[in-house]
Amino acid sequence: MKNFIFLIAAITLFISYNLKAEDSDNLVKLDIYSNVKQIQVGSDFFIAIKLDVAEEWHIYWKNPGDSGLPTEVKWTLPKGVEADGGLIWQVPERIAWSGMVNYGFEHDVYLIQKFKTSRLIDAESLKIKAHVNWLICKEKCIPQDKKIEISIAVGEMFEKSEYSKMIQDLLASAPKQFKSTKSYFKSDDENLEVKLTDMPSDVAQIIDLYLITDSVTDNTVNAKVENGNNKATAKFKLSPYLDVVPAEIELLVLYKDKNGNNKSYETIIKNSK
Amino acid sequence: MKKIVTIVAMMVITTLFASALEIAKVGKKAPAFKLKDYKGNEHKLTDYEGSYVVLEWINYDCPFVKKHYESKNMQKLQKEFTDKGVIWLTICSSAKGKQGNFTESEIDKRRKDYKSAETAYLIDESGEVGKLYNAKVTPDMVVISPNQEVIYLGAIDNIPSADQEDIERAENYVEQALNSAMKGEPVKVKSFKPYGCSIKYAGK
Repeated sequence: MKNFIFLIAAITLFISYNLKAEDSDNLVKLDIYSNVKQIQVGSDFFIAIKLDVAEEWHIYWKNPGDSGLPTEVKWTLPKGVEADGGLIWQVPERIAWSGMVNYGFEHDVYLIQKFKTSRLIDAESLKIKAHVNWLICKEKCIPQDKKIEISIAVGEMFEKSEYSKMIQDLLASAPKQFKSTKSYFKSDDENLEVKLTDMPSDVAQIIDLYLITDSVTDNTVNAKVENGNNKATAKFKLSPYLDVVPAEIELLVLYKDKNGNNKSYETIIKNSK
Repeated sequence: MKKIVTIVAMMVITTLFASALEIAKVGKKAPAFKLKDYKGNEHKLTDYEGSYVVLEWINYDCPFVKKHYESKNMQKLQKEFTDKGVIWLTICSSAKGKQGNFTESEIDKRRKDYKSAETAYLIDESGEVGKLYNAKVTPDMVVISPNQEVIYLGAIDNIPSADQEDIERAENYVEQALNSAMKGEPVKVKSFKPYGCSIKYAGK
């Protein structure tokens, strides 16, 4: 009898443990896509990783805000393949709660990477492996990771994949990279002021700015944006944890173009000091 | 005359309120507070004038707190510095019914399992003290000098992750701040953005 009770207890424990494990396993559904089915050596291609986040949960942007951790992708690449530029992120959601602000994604998000290939590749296919790490939070937080991979054929002809259009659309809606040459920022003991004096030509109105550089400004205080003629000013409150004001900061700028469409760009500006 | 008295009284009250709500800042006086530990004994920050004080925000179920307890990193620090006379106050600001808010027996069990060596484990269910110190995540650390000035505010170390393997190669800013200050040297890193789980304050 004692053995029997023990067995039942063990089975119950086993089932509940497995249910629990399965529950948290399904919080993020991971997929990997390429814009090409077959490439010619020497050409570029894109890989998109989709993280489908369970309802009510969120994962984090490259600047997570007041808590959390950035989602990370580590690539393992075959010889002759190299990442070209950084990870391309979509515009995050500003998640405000309990006196805190996070930047993250509450639904699905695609992280895209451009790759270039060497002309010396001598393989029939290329295996691209990604190790994805993320922290997922609702009230509680769970650090998770998963590995995923995709193969791309190497051949005489370039051949699009069925996801080519999807990736093209994602790239079109992702923030553009803009090289600021005149824009700058300055700071005093309390505040940081961004002066955008050069910007992409289609900007009609700056809506908001998020700092990509972590720990510089207080996330709970919204930027005060003032638009001028082809320029804009944004005031931030400095983070209470800032030790030294950096020489440059990276920004995500959200704007409306001349047709009223929502667009964005990423840029780096320098401290005027 | 009555008017002047009222105005002066109001000014005094406003100043009192303003100073009472002054948020902790490096180089400034540490905001005073009093809290009960999980056994019901009262602790006032001012009781510990003359000693270094460390404040550590905790939520045993947060993976970032687990990182520092399961690796014994936090207990090691607690032991090292309480042995040197430092007062180590662990504070839980999780509201009732929220993650991290435990019963007395559960706290007893966790403390015993982890062999933690803090001076006291304080309960801040209203979140008042957490907000006074601008604590947003667990773990969040504050180092206070014997004359009750904040000398360090923020993360325990410089590698934001939930991975225990990162501890060894990380720079521990709490340890650095205490060691420098005790030697009479300036604290190099006075503040670093803390990483971790958000504190489960009352309300949404």
